[in-house]
Amino acid sequence: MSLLEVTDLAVHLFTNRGVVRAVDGVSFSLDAGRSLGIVGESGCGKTMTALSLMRLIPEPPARIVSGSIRFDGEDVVTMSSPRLRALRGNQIGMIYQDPMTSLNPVFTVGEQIAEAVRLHRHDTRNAAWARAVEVLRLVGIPDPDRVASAYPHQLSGGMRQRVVIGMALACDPKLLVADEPTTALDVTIQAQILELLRRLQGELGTGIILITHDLGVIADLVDDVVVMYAGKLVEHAPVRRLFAAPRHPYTQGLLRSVPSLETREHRLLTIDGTVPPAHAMPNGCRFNPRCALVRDICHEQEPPLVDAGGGTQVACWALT
Amino acid sequence: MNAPLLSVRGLAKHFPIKGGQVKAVDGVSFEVAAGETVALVGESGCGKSTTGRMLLRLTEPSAGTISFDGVDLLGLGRTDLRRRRRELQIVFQDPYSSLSPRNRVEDIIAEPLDVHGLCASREQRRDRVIELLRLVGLDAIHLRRHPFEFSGGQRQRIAIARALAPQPRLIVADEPVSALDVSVQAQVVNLMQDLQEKFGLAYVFISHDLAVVRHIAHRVAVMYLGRLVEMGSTETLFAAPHHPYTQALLSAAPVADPERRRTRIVLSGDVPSPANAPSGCHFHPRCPVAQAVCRESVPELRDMGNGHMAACHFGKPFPISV
Repeated sequence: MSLLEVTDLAVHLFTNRGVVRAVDGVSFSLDAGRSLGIVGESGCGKTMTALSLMRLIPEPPARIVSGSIRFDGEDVVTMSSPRLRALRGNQIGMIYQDPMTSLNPVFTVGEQIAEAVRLHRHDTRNAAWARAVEVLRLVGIPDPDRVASAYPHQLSGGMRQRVVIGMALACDPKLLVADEPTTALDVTIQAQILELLRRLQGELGTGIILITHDLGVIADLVDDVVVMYAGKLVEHAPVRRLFAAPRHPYTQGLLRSVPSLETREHRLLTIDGTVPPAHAMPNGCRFNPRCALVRDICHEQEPPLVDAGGGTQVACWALT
Repeated sequence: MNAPLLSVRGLAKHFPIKGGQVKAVDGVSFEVAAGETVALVGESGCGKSTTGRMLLRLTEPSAGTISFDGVDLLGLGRTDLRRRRRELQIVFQDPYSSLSPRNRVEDIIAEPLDVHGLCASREQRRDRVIELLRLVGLDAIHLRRHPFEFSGGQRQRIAIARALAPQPRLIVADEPVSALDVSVQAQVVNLMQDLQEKFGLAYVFISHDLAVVRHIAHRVAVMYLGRLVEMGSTETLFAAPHHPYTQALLSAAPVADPERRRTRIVLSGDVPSPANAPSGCHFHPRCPVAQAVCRESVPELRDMGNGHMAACHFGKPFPISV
């Protein structure tokens, strides 16, 4: 059985300017100990999808209008609030982009980690503190006894992100949801954090959902990839397959527009046009105004997600 | 070789703080030829943006000289400086905060034209703005709109049009594509290259993104804690980086290719605070090949052959493990 099974998830935003289908019919699953990347550009719905996994979307204006999210067999969508609270931070850990805003500036980092441990495991104060020091050591913080007594502002950005990862892992979650965990960090620090996530996944067997816009980070860390565009899942493939043989015209365009470190082309290839505004999505396939392979049916009907061989699923009329 | 368009010597910016000073930029020298793109690369706090701002005297240097087209910019009075700035423009990272939300696109782009009195009539001003909009891939229909009506990529095009308006010879671009999505980033990079070819513009391109730099720059200068540690042609720097920091930086950059999950050079430790920079070579506490000498003396930037410069006591490129 999968650790996480998302089926036909739809999250809509009810705004003054109309209903925005921020996430529209997204399905994927994650087995225990595996990692899945969700990649896409601003506004594609990747963060909304991630927040939905723990029902953390801002309600209102957002609402999960259909679909199910089964975590360890239980449906998060219909779960009671107390049950959700028991799940968040305990079975599912979360890491956000900016470590400064996910840490409380007036408590030491040790207190903040220990609080989560006491809440979920009902440990004694001393045992929870010991656990805090232990996870700080686990995430590679030098001198964890001392750092546990430090306030967030006394730590560097990379150290803070290690603390946040430690906090997320303090209760041995089965699933870690990481939303742009390295985007705010410098490249040499990013390399350290990616290395850390990889090591932890190997050691602890935690399932990881990684949300990012950075294809380099995706290529580095995950087993499988979901590509989202304008609220839709357009391609789902094993990571090697996705980079070696992308099928959806959007995925192909996205990969082509990344400049390479090894070679230098005369011009970068681009995807024409821009993502349509959220409240004025085109009919049919949402990529059709920017697509080179567009045909009549693309304007009329949304393409279904179909099997394209090699473990790839793709939603494109040109490939159906 | 012709005299360079821009020549910077010993540029420094020291900010006073309680009990000392932060050497944000500490003796940086480089040149930019007409029509050339020189990239300034480095991590947060390395001084690349402060250097960029000093080139236009948006931040006043503490020491050094900046010669632009043979004129010493630091010796100019306010009026002369303003006149000179017509030829030196800047584009900032965040197109959401660099454009005034209350102004219409026409007035935003025309501002440098007004400042320098470059348009004789309203018609001429409008025609010039329309011409600039078309140059950056926008259109006359955008004249009356406000910045909020545009996407991030379009806003950055507007910022570029504004920078182009007074026909500058050099544009300092401070992380111009870092806030943009990858497909839009490629559009803006291409636009900048087209404009360079068309007008013979020189760019000082400030970025932390090595792949973009590899694509756009002719030469690259790598900064670490306020100092230049390596400078050379893009080809040489990427193929055979000499400085251990450059090697680590290149090795750390994520590559969009899962077949190449490499054994990286992962540097231990953080970038030290510039308020408390290590002695000798600033990089020595994180350097995999540091020796005693690195703690004691500051390595000079010196020629490693072919004009490739590096500031390391051990000047050989060691093979990068891929």
